[in-house]
Amino acid sequence: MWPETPALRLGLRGRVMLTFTLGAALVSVLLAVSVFTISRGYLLDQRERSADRLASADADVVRARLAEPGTSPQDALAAVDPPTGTRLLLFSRGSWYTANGVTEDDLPPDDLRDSVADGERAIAPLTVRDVPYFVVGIPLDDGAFYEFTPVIELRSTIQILGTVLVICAIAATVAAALVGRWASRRVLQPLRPISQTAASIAGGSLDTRLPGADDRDLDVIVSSFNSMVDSLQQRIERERRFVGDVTHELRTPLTTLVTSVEVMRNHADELPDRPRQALDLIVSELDHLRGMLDDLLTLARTEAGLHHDEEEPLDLHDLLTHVLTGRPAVALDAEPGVYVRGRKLALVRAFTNLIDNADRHGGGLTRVSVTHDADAVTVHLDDRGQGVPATDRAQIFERFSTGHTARGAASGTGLGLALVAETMAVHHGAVECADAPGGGARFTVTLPLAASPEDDEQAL
Amino acid sequence: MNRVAVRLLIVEDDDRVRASMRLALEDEGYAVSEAPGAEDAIEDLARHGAPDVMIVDLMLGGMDGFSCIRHVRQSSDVPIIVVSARVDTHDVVAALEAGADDYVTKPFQIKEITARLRALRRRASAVGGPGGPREVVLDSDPDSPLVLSIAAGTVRRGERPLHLTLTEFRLLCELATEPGRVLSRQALLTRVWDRGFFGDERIVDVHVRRLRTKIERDPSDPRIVTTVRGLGYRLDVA
Repeated sequence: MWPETPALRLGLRGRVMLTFTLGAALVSVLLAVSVFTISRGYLLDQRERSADRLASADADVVRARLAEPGTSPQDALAAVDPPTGTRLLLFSRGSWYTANGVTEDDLPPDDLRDSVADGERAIAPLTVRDVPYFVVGIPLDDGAFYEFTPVIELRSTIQILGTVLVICAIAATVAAALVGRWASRRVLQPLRPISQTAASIAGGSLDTRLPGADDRDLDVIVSSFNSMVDSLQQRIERERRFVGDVTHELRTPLTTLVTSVEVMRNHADELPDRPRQALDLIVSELDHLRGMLDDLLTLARTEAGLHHDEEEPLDLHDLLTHVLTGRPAVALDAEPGVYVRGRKLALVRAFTNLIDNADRHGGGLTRVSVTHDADAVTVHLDDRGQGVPATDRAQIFERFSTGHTARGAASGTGLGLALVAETMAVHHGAVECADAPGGGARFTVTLPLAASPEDDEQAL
Repeated sequence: MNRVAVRLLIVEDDDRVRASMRLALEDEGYAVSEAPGAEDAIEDLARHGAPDVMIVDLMLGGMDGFSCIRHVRQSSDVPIIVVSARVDTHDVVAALEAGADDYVTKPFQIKEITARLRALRRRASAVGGPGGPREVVLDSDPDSPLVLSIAAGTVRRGERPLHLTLTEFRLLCELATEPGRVLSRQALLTRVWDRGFFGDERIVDVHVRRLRTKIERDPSDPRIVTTVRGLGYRLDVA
């Protein structure tokens, strides 16, 4: 067995939705990260180039002024007119010069100064007092020129870009989840008629089929579903025919037997003693055989959902009164007007079987009582026997179980109680066995309560 | 029994069933003749006239029981009891619709057959017997009134007599005894067919249908014998 992980088990719809969501989240994040990286790289690169160009131009001016005799480095620096925020730094003849006052802390980092001292142009990002700069260092003949270009607006641009991308990724993920939900619902929509049809077939409407689908994928399911039901129906009909054939084939010879034996019984007083005893045996076995055939065929028909009468509202008081006709010893405790919905002959047969069972195994019934609540009717049938051992109580409702239980001494057909259970099941009810309050067995039948025919009529 | 024995014709293709039924029914005092097939039965009727009651098995070689009943019904109102091994199919309803009066299921005990026979005979004699001269106008259409004469045993539409079987006639009489009152199917089954609580109520339904096709102007919209859903049938006198 697989370990059960109920917390993680998702329905088909949940899985479709989750797939959509995860897929969209992955794509969005990848897209956002790469857009961010590329854009940031491009923007920085652009800014660096322009800073470099500007610094070169300024350095040229400074270099030209320094070349003029009598110009101090401070003057040379003043000749440059940098954009607001840009800071200039000149290292000339061993001293630092600046346009707008620089402390020791503002000097370019050592590695940059080393590169420039080696005669190379150098460029590096640098943050001074929380302001980001690009520092461009350009070597001069006897010193170096540094230009600090502020890139504070670039930093905020990149921040906005990042924020926008994160929002977009989240929005795309949420949208994908919604689309996933819609798609899963839409994909599973055609399964709903399938399940409804299956339920109605299970309910006995074997002629129900799914309508054809215009979707190619769905059509495969629809046609295999329909052909499954076709073969199911054929099978049931074959069995139905078989039951019919068996009925006919067995009933015809049995008719001859029953009728001929009756003729013999009518003339029993003309028979010598020994043949008459043999005839009595034949008569009783024939009754048994006939009962068994009836029970067997009724059971098969009940299971196959075959019946020849319609369901109707039945007054349990009337029904039980008729079933108990000729048994004055049984107390019937029922009031008229309690109705159940069912097939009369089937229920009559079921109750008759319970009575026969009590006669055979329980010394006869003592009391039959009917009670009901808002939606169910309960019938208790108490007998005067030994009761049924708790271990046998479920078993006695199985077919041919009489041979294996303590109650199997007398000769029933072995099908009577199975037929009771089957009949109650098709009537949405149940039968159980327990102890009767005064000793003996109590069989309890429960059936759904039905409206009386008059109420039914008024409801129309 | 001193009076003339009731004549039965048994139509049954199984020789042994037929022979055993003959033995048993002759023991009960009936005059039994046999026909192994529908064709033989029709020939028998043509030669000797209709018996008092026919017992017809539905599964026959050659022409089946249904056709046999329909054929007989064209010329005779003889009471017909159907014998069938199949009650769960629509065979019984089809046979009743073809014109049978009642049915018995195989394997039957002969007392079931004799009970049916007695009920049919009782009906036949009760209808013809002294019930008092009584007429019921079922449809007071001035041009062609529908009149049931219980004593005379006839139903006339204007001058034209309608051919009802004895069972149909008896059913109409029962409904006509209490016009406007609902009679349950169970009550009709008991009164007309002498069947108890365990009888098959389809017998009543099919006979009502058959009756309607004969007496109603539009059988699909019955005005005389109306259905009261869930309760039974009612005769409405216009």
